[in-house]
Amino acid sequence: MKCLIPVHQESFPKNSIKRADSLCDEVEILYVLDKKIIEKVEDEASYILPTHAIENLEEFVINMHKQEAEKTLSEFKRAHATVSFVVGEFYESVAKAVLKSAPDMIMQDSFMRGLLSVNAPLWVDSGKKIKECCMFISSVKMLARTKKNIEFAEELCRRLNSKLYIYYVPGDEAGLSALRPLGNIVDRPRGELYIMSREHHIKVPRKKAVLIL
Amino acid sequence: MIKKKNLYLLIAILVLVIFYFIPTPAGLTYQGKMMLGVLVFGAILFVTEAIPLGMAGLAVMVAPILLSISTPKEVFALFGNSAVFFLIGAFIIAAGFQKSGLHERIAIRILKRVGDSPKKFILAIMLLAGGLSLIMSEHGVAALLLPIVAYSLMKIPESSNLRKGGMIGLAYGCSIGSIGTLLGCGRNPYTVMYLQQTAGIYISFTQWIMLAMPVVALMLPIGWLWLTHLYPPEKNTKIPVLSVPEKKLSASEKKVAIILIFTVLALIFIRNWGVAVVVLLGALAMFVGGVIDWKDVERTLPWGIILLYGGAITLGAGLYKTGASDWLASNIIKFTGTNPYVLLFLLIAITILITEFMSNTAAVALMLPIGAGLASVVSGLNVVVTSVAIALAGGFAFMFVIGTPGNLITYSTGFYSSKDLLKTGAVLDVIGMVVIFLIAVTLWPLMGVW
Repeated sequence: MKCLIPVHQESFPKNSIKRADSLCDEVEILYVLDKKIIEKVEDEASYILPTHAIENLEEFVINMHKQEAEKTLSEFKRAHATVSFVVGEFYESVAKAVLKSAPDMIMQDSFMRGLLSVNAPLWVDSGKKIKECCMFISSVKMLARTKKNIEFAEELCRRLNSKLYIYYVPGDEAGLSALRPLGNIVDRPRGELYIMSREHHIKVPRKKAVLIL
Repeated sequence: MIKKKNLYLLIAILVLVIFYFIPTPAGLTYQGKMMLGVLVFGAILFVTEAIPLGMAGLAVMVAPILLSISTPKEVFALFGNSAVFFLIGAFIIAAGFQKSGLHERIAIRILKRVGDSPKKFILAIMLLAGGLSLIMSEHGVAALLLPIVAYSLMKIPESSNLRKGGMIGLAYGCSIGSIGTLLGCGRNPYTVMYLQQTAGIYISFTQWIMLAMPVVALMLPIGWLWLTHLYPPEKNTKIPVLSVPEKKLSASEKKVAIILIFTVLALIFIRNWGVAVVVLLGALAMFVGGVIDWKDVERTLPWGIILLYGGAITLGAGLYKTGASDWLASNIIKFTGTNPYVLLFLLIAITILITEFMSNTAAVALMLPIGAGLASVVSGLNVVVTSVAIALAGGFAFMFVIGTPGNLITYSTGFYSSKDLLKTGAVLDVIGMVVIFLIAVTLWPLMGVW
C-alpha cells in the first residue's frame, strides 16, 4: 500500500505520518512550500527591504524548508519513505504528484476541501485508535468501481485490525441487494458523519479519522 | 477580464471623480473636499495594494496637483522634508551595521548567555529584536535575525511550543521595539515632522524616547508572558545556538559601534542641528570610515518606503492646509461626543485595527490628520498626545500575517500557523490599546504633555 502525505506549513500532519509508518509499505512525503507565501513576502517586503535582502531571505527560507522536509524522513521506522520538495501552489502540486506516482491514498491531519478534487482517496486522521471503519456509498451506478473501493477499504481495515461497515445512503432495495454480497451493509447513515448531498459535501466530525473515497 | 488589482485602481480613481462632482459641503472649500477625496483614494490604494505602495505614495503626491489643490512647487517641496532625509540617513547607517556583521555578534552572544532555559530564550529573542529595532528598521531586524533564531529553533522538534513562541517572539519584539526611538521606523520621524509642520511643535529624539519607552518597557514583558502562557515551552529543551569562531572585533565592527554611539549621543544632546542632519552625518561617517561604499547604498535604500512617506507627507499637509482634517473631526464628534479620553482610545483602537489590514506607515499617515483635527476642535485633547499615540499604535500589528512585513517574514519559516498568530495577536492588540492609552493619560501628563 502506497500513500502520499502532502505537507503544508499551516498544518504538519504528524498523525498521518505516524499512522502511515505502521499502515503503509511506501510513503511519499510531498513537502510544498507555498509559492503564494514567498510571493507575499516579496510583495510586502519589497518596499521596505532592499532587493538583495529579499533574495537572501527567500534563499534562506527555501533552504530551511528543504532541511525541514528532509527531517520528516527520520520519523519513519518501518515504511519505506521518500521525500520530495516543491515550491508551488499546494493543491496543484498534490494533483501533479498523484498523477506521477499514483498513490493508493492521500493522508492528512486536517480536512482540506481542495484535496477532494484530487483523484485519490483522502484520509483525514485524528491520530486515535480506529476500532471500526464506516464506508458511505451514495450511489451504486458504478458498481465495478465501488467494488474496487470496498476491496481497498477492506484491505485497510485488515491492516488496522478493525471492522468495516458499509453505509448505503439512498437505502433503495436494488442498491442494497447489489452491495449485500460485498460486506456488512447498513442502509442508513448514523452518528455525526453524514453525506449532505450528491456533490460530496461531507461534514468531517472532529476527532475522527475519515477516509474519503 | 479585468484583473482584481486594476479594478481596485479603477474604484480609487472613480472615488476622485465622484468627489469632484458632489457638491461642496458647508464649511469646506473645494480644495478641502477634494483633499478628502485624495484621503479615500489613498486609503483604497494602501489597503488593496492595487499598485505597489511606493507608487501609491507617488499617486497621492501627484493627485493634489492634478486636482488643483496644490501647486507642483508646494508638493515637491514637501518631499524635500527633513523626515525623508532622516529616513535616508537611517537606512544608510543600518546598511553599515548590517554589512559589518555586528548584529550577528551581538545576537549570538546574547542567545548563548541564556543557556538552556526555553522561557528565557524567548525573552532573549524579544529583547534582542526589540533592542536592535531601537536603532534600525524593524523589518530589517526581522530579516537579519531570522537566520540566527531559525538556526536554533530548527533543531527543536516540530511540535515544540518553543518554535512557535520563539518565532512569534521575534516578530513581536521587532514591532514593539520599533516604536521606542526615531530610528526604529519611519512612522516616528514622520510624526515628528507632521507635528512640526502642522502645529509648530518639535519633539526631540530624547523626548520621543521618554514618551515611547514606557510603552516598550511594558509591552515587551507583557508580550513575553502572554506568549509563554499560550505556548509554554517544554522544559529541559536543549537549545543549540549558531556557533561561529570567536574572533576579535573587526575594524569595521569597531567603526560601526563608534559611529552608532556618537550618532545616538548627538541625537540626544545636540538639538540645534535637528535629527536629520545628525543621522546624515552618521551616514557620511559610514562612508568616510570605509564601512560601506556607494554600491551598498544603491543596494540597500528601499526607495518604495521613501516614496510612500513622500505621499504620506503630501496627504497630511494637504488635509491640514485645506482645513479638511478639522471639518472631518467636527463631523466625527457629532457621533462620538467630545470626551477626550473616549476619543483618544478610539483613535488608538482604530489605528491598531486598520494597521492590521494595511501598511503601518499608511495607517499612521491616514490617522494623523484625523487625530490632529480632533485635537483642534475638542478641548482637553492635545495634538501631541493624539499624534504620538497614533504613531505608537501604528506599530502594533500583532494579529495577522499580513499585518506587517516582520510577521510575514517570520511566518514564512513555517514555525507557526496563521491561527497561532491570530490567537496570540488578538489579545495582544487589545493589551496594546490599553497600555498606550494608560501611559498617555497617566504618564504623559507628568511629562508636561496634555
